[in-house]
Amino acid sequence: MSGDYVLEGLAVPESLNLLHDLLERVGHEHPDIDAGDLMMFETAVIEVAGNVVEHGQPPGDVTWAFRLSVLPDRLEAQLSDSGEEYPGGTWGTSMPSDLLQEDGRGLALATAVLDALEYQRSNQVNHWTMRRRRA
Amino acid sequence: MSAQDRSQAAVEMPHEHQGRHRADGRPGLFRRPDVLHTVPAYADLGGGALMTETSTAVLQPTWRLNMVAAPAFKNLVEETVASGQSRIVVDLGQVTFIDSSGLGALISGLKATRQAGGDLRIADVPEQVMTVLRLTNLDRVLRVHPTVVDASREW
Repeated sequence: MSGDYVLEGLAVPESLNLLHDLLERVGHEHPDIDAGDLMMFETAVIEVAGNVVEHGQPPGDVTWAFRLSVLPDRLEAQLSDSGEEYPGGTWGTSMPSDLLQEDGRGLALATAVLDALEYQRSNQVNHWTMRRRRA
Repeated sequence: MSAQDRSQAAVEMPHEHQGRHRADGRPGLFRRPDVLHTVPAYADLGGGALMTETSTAVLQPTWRLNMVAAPAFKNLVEETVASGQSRIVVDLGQVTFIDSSGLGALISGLKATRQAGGDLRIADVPEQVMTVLRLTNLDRVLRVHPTVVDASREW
């Protein structure tokens, strides 16, 4: 997909703040986007990216490219990373039943705030596509 | 002075720990328990109000409580509990964003304080944080209070 906004780099924790900054820029440059929509989209982007940072193999060596499009009816983004293949299926997409569990909510949270979260692997690259309809 | 006024006064009272502050103003860092002080608690004993001294540690993370910041915040809570303060209020008023790592740090703190006989409460919760708490059902285990003063009462 083409992207109005692009960010490339290493999938390390510090890069998450660059994604936050990019989403902030999107908000400034598109004041017509509902603040709640952008807030939830940012939540999803950071959770999907955080999942790559946390589980991407080999740690510290995974690179990614993030592309985001502001479309009339939706926000759409794709995060492509060089990490090993994601287990797939519904792994990680439901909330932990134990409320006191400290982890395991990332992809479940992203799923909850998006209209679509899709995963594909092609040419040794993981592609995470996120869509949220605009209010 | 009413009980409420006294609690308010205590929270706004100048503290004595200036030297321990992270005062560089850099976002994403945490103030040490710089508003750590004694908050009066009141127990009603048969018609009279008895003031008892109880202390509350107020921690104030700022900016983005995400994977970058969560480990340091988790450590800060653990250090606070280890120092003998197991009643902790986390003032989220300056947090602009929380992710699942930040939620994990709060849950970790909740468990640590309860194991030490205390509790962890959250106050002044911004909209994004509240939405995420509801979506994850964590609003059922993390007690939300409108202000730090409210959260510091009746442990």
